Amino acid sequence: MNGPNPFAKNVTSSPAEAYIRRIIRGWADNVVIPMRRQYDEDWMDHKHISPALKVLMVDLGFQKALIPAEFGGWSFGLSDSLATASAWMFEEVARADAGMALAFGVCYWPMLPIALKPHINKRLCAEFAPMFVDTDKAMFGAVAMTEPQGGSDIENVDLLHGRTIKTTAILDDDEWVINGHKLWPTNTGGIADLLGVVCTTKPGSEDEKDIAYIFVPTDTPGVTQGNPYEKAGMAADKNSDIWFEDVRVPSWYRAHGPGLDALYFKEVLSLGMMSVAFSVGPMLNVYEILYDFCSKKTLNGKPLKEHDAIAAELSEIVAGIEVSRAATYSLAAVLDRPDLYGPRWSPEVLAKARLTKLFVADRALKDCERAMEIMGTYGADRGWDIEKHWRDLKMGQLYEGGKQLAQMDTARYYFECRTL
Amino acid sequence: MKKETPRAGSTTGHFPYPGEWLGPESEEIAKSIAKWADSEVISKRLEFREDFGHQMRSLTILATDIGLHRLIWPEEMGGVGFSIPEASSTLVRAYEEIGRADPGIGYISAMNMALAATLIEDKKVAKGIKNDIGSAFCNSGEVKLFSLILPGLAGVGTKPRNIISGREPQADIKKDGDIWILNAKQARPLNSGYDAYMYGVIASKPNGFILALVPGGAAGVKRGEPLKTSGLLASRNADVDFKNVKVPAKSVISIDEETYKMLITWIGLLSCAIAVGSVMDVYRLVKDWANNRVIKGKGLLKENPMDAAVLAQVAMDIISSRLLVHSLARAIAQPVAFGLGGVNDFFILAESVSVRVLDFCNHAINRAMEMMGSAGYAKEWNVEKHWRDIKTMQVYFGGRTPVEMDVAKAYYGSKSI
Repeated sequence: MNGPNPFAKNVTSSPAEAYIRRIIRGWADNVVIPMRRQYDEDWMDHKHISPALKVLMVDLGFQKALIPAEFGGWSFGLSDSLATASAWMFEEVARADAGMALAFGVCYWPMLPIALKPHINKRLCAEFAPMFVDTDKAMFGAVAMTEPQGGSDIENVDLLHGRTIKTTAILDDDEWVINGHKLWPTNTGGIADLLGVVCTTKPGSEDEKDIAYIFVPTDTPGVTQGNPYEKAGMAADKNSDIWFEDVRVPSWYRAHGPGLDALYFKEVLSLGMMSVAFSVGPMLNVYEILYDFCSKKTLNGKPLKEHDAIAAELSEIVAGIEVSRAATYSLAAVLDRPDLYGPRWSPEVLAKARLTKLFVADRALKDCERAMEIMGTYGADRGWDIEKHWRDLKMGQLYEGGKQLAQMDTARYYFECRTL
Repeated sequence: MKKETPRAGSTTGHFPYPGEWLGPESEEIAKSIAKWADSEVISKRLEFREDFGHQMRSLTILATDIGLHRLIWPEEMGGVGFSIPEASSTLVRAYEEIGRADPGIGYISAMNMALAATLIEDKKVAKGIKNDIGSAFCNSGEVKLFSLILPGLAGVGTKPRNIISGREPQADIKKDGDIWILNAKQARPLNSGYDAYMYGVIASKPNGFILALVPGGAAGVKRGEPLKTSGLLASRNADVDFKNVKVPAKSVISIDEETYKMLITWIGLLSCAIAVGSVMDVYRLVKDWANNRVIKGKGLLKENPMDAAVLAQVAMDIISSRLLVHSLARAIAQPVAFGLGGVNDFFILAESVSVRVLDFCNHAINRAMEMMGSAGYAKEWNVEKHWRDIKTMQVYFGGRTPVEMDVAKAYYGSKSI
């Protein structure tokens, strides 16, 4: 863009932020943005998407970031700034392509219960870290939670306590035998290498001790990934069904055991709300595009940005970006410092995370729609990239339990609701 | 005892509309189109998902076999003879049914119908032009697509053109002896720029405006590659260059703001009807979802008060939209009954209703998608297609701000905006 671009400035004075943003922005501007208009047709094969992700994850090394240094990673999970650093990375990737940001971000997701301080599971880190650090391939992780019968029920832990989970894990000697059917996890459709599977050791139980979080490499016999769904957008994020048929994994592949698995699964959910950066990132790019468009196009003889009524709309858009961004980093601060704000699995932190996503996802979609309307016929044109962001942003409202679960988790804490 | 209100074709549920404004013949037309929608499009969605060829075959059946594109042309031109503007309510019912099936097919048909209605209604248009265009609509046995290139945004630094209703034409035209010379660079049509049989271009002339009808194959016309757009796949659009295109005098219509406003009025009316039809199909899909989806391991989705509230909003948006669009149609047909004085009154009403109805429909589909979660976002369930189509139609209508300026001028006497 040819303007001041205040959103290109760093949000902190951290040299790490400057470094990470510079590296990822260079990748985004040189590798992704020139090609992204071809991504929609690439949703099945990932002929363009996979090589671009490999540059980010392998060549630049970002798939190592979460892993503790003693296992070859960058130890983000041991720092006090995992969420903040995630926001930097996710914003920059999502500025180019929200689907890629989601695919990339979710690679960390299944590992959180074992690679995050203070609950590092060294045995499992030693087992799975090499997948991500000793490889020249982009390796994808996924959290398998949603099931056909109940959408977001699995994520509604504080109400249902795992009662509706149908995927079972039965201990047979020193192995878990897993059976079930999961839907929609990001990074499935044939590309996931490692799954964190949310299952129950006692179907129908409302005791959170019976919720198990078990690691399953996808090449384990009995694991079948379906073909990806074709979607409105988010081509880089493949989603499919996964079936588990008598899948056997060692008993120590369970993350931590009764009670702790449920707790850390809730932590996974709270940290997952850093997906708000997947909504902020595209809006940074929408601003850049809009700046140029509104400087070059006229309405009634005036440049669009000099037309008072259009300027009013433009101000709403940047207000949305600034406030959403502030909310994102405010949430990151809460998630980064459980010593100050309470454990990430607490209803309070979960509510704060959910409401941030509720606000930011809605606002980004609304502001992107404003941008499309300002641009008229050009707003729906892939050649200007705004409509791509709009299609991608819609997913931000729908994933991670959707808008309604976010509302219920929020109300449950703030109003002490007991039956939601 | 009150007369029972007619039911809405084959749509699920009943969203009231003033059926007494439509005669039995109009309901028969709507039923024919509903049958076409179900058999040609809806039942084949998974087989022909966004297949342009199938969309064109479906449009041909609609326009020629069923005869929609002949509907409003006089019988002596080969038309069915429904008169304009009285047929506005009939058209709304027809386009609701098309929108239910595929808003993209509805959209390109509507752009053609809007042009036809404007030409038929405008007494300033010479009979020879009406005959030529009418013949293309009625007697060809195939669908001949007209692509509209209307005023809109312009570029900084380009030579200023005359402004019509706050919008700048995308083309210049000047007279050279007996012919007119048309020039435009990368003009953005509203529809079908890539497939146009003929372009309808509103161009700026030194002292006013011309509607030039330019054959797609005329020398100097160069169409770009098809644009990839969010939705409305049936409308393969492309930017078009017109370089010193010679337009015979018999193919130009000297127009004023009234003609432009009539055209926008028809576009707005038919776009709204398509959007209402589209969201009625979304209602059917989300209703099916709510009837079968169990949450919290016990109750149906629709039995949860929070979800029921969202589902209710979908229905409320449709109820409001349908009443608005049928009222607009009636106002166009019976202006005196609505206290409307002239074309500008229709125009402001149509713009206002269009912005609101498209907002309501967009809102309804967004909320339905929330109910369906990821399934609402997946192409298999077709809700996301309605979402993309209606949003595309909304932005192709030209954006909110120009409409707000028109309304402020009309209702507050603003002069310099």
